[in-house]
Amino acid sequence: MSWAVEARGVLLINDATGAVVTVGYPQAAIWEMLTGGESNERIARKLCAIASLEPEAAEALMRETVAAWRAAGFLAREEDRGG
Amino acid sequence: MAPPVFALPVFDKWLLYAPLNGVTALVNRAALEDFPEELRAALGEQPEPEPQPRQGAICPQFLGIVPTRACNLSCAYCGFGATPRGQEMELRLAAAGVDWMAEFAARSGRRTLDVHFFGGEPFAAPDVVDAAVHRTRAAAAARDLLPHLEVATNGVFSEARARFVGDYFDIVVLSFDGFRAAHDRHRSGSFDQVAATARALSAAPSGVCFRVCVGEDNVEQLAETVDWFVEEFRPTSIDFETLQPTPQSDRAGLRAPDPYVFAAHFRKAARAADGHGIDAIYAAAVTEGLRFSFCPVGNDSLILHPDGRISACYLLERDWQARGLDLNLGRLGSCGEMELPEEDVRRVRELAASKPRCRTCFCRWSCAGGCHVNHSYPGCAARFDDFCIQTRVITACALLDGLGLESMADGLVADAAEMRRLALRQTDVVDGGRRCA
Amino acid sequence: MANISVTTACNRDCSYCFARGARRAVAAHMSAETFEKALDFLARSGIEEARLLGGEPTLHPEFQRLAEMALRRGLRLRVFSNGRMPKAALEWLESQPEERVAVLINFAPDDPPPAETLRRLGKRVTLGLNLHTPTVDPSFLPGAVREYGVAPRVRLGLAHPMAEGGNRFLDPRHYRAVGRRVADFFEAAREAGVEASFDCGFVPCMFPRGFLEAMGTAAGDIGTQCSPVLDILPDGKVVPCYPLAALAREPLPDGETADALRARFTERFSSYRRLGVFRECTVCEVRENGGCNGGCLAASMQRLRTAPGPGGARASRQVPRGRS
Repeated sequence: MSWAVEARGVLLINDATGAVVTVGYPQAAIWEMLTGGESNERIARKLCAIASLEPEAAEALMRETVAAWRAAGFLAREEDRGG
Repeated sequence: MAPPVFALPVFDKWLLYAPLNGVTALVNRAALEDFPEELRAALGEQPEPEPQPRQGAICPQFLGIVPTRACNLSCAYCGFGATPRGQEMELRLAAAGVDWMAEFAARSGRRTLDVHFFGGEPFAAPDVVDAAVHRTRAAAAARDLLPHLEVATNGVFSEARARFVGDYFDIVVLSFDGFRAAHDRHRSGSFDQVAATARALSAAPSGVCFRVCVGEDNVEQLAETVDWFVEEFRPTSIDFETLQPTPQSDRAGLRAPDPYVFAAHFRKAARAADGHGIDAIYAAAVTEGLRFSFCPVGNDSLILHPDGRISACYLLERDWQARGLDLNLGRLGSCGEMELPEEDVRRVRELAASKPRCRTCFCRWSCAGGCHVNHSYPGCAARFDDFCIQTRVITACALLDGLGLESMADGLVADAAEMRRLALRQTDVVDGGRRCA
Repeated sequence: MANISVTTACNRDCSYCFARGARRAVAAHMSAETFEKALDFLARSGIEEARLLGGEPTLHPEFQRLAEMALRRGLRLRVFSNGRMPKAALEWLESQPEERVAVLINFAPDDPPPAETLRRLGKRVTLGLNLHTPTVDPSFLPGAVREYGVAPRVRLGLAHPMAEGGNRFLDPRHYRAVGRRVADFFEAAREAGVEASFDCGFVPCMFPRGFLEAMGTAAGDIGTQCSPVLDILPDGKVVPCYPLAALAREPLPDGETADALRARFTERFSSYRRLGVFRECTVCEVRENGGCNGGCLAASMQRLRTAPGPGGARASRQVPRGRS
């Protein structure tokens, strides 16, 4: 996977398939923090402020987003995440 | 009343400068006594209006955020009382500040949403910065604005953080005091880490401005510093600021440079930078465009502090208070309720208008008094200080350069007596009576 | 168009050279057989000009023979040179009619080409200048055109990054500073009767407002030039362009045309085309209206970060060189 920061979010490119996805906010923040190796708790805490969410809603958004990205092949499987 | 015309002695000539008329000229003594026809004609044309203090509703160019006053360094000259721990802004407060600025920018028809970060060291509260950066980008996207993010940082952070900074910020002002010996002496031995960050940022999309604190110890290396910076790190600009004496710097044995020595070496550094195609900046000597103030205090800046206070200045409150100043503008609640009482805005604007030294100085609308806490404030000394002196010399050189008289400017900074003659005049204003048609 | 790189040999070591990756201790020279094949490729692609590059193409031991092969086929010849050419090559070029042979000579102001070469080749020569730092100032070019009696044309190029790294290139954050300098130069050149043209990678937003409109047709295709130019390497492989050479190459085809090869390379990199050299490229109106394709693709891809693919393994397709 390759990706770059864009004016409105992040651009994800699957180098193997050529698929391109533009990820806007607040999901772009989740991508940045996930690929930075941050813990789920820390991401959720910041997401509350980034997206004006209550903690449960922030956690739910994270779960849904990560699941969608795994299904799309943009993210490694849980057991393959290092560190 | 006719706009002022300033005249400065440069060897056996006079540098005439009428900024509101857009006129700069080098004349001899006789022409100064009796302006030649072309000069009268140029001075007779419709002048620009004199820059005025801000009026009306507050109109900030950017939102400043101080995520924390904590810092991971203890720089020798820092008067911020750097501590490893300090109050950290709540994430929701940062978001509320961004939202307010986004609404303001959209309402005002701006194209960008400008958010700047100050400290302490902003990345000593990394989560606050992260949340505010992403909130800024989200708020900008929602309002069809472009985010514009700037940060002033010491650069002592991980490679991962450097990648983040390089990718998300438009301008990074990195404190980097030059070669290892000077930088380490000034800045807690952080040279290796800062150089690593500078290298990482050199490959990043962000613009990078190196901010160099110039003391007696590194003033003579400015040109070499520029050459080395450009070769190693390719910054987009280099900003030079002379050391502001503090009790800390006194204890560390650091001293501000002699202003004439600084002026001479800054000129060499500027030439070196120009040769590399980048700008060397001494902020007080920018002559493009007239301004009432270049200090945030004089420009309706809104700086949000960790406790929700809003002020016009990012320096410590105790520093303003030591001058008898109150630069607080109001308060922001974490639910977004912004209080900016008109009387507080008015008070700060009036403070920024108090520049007793500036009235008859030719830098009146370029330097425009410099910092309203450290330099021009009600009750400050009337005589020119070191900041005034170096600013006057550097600005005069810039005007001579604009006339194609670089060698004359070079001669000026090589002649201490000539610099003194120019810098220490009581008034630069020419008797306007001679300009009558 | 397509370029034929006939040799990796070079007698200069320019910091910005995007062929640096190909240079080895022992130079590689294109064989006559491969060159013939390249000419066949040009012919069936309807390309009427053979553009010879290097390294320094005139250092090929059989430069004259290759050049004559191209001319015999009715092609025009354009040689991209640093001007430091062997005597025999200079004499041969000098003997060729101006309408058949052109020479683009890169003029490095700190190490200029031999004056004799420029004077002898005269109007065959177009001077070129590579902008690889914000310092490089083209203002000397009109004077050089006059002094050496070369063609009243100059070609400006931006130094682009090699995908695998290793060369000095003009960082996009310096584009606007360079654009201001180029805008000043363009006016001065025009007044001196010298026509300036632009190689690939220049983007509209690097120039001061109003400049492109003032240039009129001389603006050419600024902003839209980045496309697979096709560089044929000495070993007979074809790459989309030298900056992207490390990421994609194919053998010189026997039957296909340049258009087919270009289409394949375009498709191969289509995902990355969305990037643009600046973050703001994805929301740029000029780009949306087709006025710019985002600048140099190799420069755009410098902004990429890489993340582990599914299963933690690297993707099987070659990962573009970004910052990890």
